[in-house]
Formats: sequence, structure tokens, C-alpha cells
Amino acid sequence: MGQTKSDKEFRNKLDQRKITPSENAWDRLDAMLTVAEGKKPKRSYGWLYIAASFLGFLLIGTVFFSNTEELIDVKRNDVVIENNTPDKPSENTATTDTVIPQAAAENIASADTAEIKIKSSIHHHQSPQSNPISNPVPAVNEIQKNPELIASGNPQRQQSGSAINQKTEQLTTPAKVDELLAAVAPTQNNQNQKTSVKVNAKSLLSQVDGEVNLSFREKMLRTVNRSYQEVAETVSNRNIQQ
Amino acid sequence: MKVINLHQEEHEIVKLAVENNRHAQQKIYSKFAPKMLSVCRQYVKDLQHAEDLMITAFMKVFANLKNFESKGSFEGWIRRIMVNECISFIRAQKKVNFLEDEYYKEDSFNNIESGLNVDDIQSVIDSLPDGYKMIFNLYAIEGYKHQEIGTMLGISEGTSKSQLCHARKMLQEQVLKLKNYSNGTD
Repeated sequence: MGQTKSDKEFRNKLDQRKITPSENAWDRLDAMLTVAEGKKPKRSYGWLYIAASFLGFLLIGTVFFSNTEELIDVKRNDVVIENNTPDKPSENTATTDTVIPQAAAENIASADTAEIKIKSSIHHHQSPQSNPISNPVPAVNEIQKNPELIASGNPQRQQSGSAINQKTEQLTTPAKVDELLAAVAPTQNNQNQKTSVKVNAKSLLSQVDGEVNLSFREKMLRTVNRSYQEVAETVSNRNIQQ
Repeated sequence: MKVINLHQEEHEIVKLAVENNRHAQQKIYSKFAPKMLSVCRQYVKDLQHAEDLMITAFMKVFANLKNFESKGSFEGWIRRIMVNECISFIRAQKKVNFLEDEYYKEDSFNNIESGLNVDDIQSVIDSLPDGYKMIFNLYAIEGYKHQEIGTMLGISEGTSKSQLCHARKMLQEQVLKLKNYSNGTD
């Protein structure tokens, strides 16, 4: 059963027919196309969210690591603060204002090894290896209290230093300790009266309050206070005994 | 030379329409809308519904324009989309019920032209039930084969043939009735 003549007639006539759409037909189609095109950009929002979250994580990470670096800097500053504590700098110790924390302190302390060793041996101070950070503090405090010991131009310092140097080899014997202290004590007393240096660790540390972490500050305060108290106590006791 | 220029022009317009150039889309619409509305009108009696279907089909045309390979006729491609849209609409309305008639007899129809004008032809086609109308349009007007129609509508080839046979029989009766009415014999 193929196509009949009537089929062809119908097809030809219907193919030639044209029906004009209503005037608003294109407007409706235009609106539908606009809506359809407006939906497409939504796909990119997912990428925007991913990019935004990535930037957020990056920002958080940057802030986190920058905070960590600040903490490290604060620790370094604390060490410097301990070495710059003298309220009444001596002629030569003024040079210690330049920040050479432990090495400089040790160098200075090595010049007065005798006194420091004496004091540390008498008062059974903690071993230096147990607390490397607080180690220079007693020596520095001693130096701060007795600036004449560091001053190279002071003849008493030279005399006492020479006397101590002569006896350095015999320091380990407790019997010689009293003699050494007897030689040193008068000069110490004089200088203590003159200088009357009192290192207020709290006031010093309050200068850097904004930079110091609270827990770290407390720890350092304890260390400085403990060392200062021990040194002050031992010196005063020894002076009283003398 | 003129045909080549027209083809190139159409190709350029299609290219622009793919890029959502609204002016090119409007040109395509203006060119094919009257013919496509006529196609939709063959399947749907109500002109407003036919226009709605045409607009929906044009949406699909523009959405799938990038898939057009320019190998066949652009008009034929659009027309196919229109027909599919109309079939989907009619089937979605669940008005169509294809009954397979194994005992139908292929009558010999008058192989003569009816001489009706296009409006009368449309009114005769409109008088057919949706199933008959659909298969008659697909076979006689669009030129599909029974196998293709069966695949499109999900029916067997025999069902398509029997439906076409019944549609022709009804059409012949309607044409005769219309002719008699116009001649004043009825």
C-alpha cells in the first residue's frame, strides 16, 4: 500500500501552507531563551565556591603561620632583654647594650670566672646544663651588681682580679673560698652601696608586655626572679657572715 | 550560484545562532515559524496549542543547534523536531490508543485527487481520531515508513498499517461527505 494520489495532493497542499504565528510568539520564545541562558552561569557558581573556600583556607593558614613566627621572635627578644637589664650601666658594660646575648655574657663572665665560680660553688647553684637559658642570668646579674668587677680601669678590680687569678687553681677547696671572699667582699660591699642596683625583672618585662606570650612571660619571670633571689640571698648571707 | 549563496548565508546564521546570537535566532524563527506552525497544526486541532508546541520545539532547536551537522536539510531537521514534539504532546495527553486489527482488509481507495482546498483538507484530517491522524500524517504527509512509525510510536508495523487503512477509509468517507455537501447533494 503506497502513497495514493490523494496523499500526494494532501502533502503538496499542506506543505505549501503557512500559518503566521501570533505577534507575541517570538517575545515568548525570546523570554524562554533568556531564561534558559540565565540558568547556564549557575554552573560556574560551584567553582566560585571552591575558589572562595580555597582562598579562605589559604588566609587561615597564612595567619596561623605568621602567628607562629611571632612567637619565635618573642623568645629571642626575651633573651636579649635579660642581657640588657643593667639599670646603671658601667663604663665598660655600656657596650653590652649591643645585643650579643649569651656569647657576650659568657665572655664577660669568663673574665670573672673566679667570682662566679665561687658564688656558684658556695650557694650550690643549679648546674648550668640544666637550664641553658637562665644560665647567663646569674652571671650577668653579678656583673650588673658589681660593675667595678668588669671595669678594666679600676685598680681594685685589677688587684682583686689578680688576686683571684692567682688563686683560681685552688678554688675547688672550700677552705680557700673564705679567703677569696674576704678579699672580694669589701669591694663588693662598697660597690653595692654605691650602685644599689636592683633589677626589677617585672618592670623590665612589662616593657615588652605586648610582645610576650603570657605563659612564656611567666616562665621567664620565674626564672629571672629565682636566679636573682638566689644570687642576692647568697651575697647578702656571705656578707653577713663576713 | 544563488543557491550556494543562500546555503552559505544559512550556514552563517546557524553558526551565529549556536553562539546565542539573538538576532540570528530571530532570523531562523522568522524564516521557519509559519511553515512549522502549519506542521504542528496538522497534529493538533487547537491553533494556540499548536503555537505553544512550536515555541517549545524552537527552544529545543536552539538548544540542540550545535548538534546539527549541516549534512542534511536544515528545514527537514527542524521539521523532525516539530513532529516529535507534537507526538510527545499527544501521547502525554494519553488520548491515543492504538488497537491492532489483524483482520483489516486493504481496500482499494479511489486513486484520484480530492480537489479540496487546504482548509478543507485540514478539517478532514481534524475529523480523524488522534491515533489515525498521527499515523496518516506520519505516513502520507511526512513520508515515514511503517517500520519507522512503529519505532517512533512503540507499536508494531502491522498496527501502523491497519491504523493507516482505517484512517484512509474514514478520510474517504469524510471527503465524499464534504464534496456532496459542497455540491448540495447531501
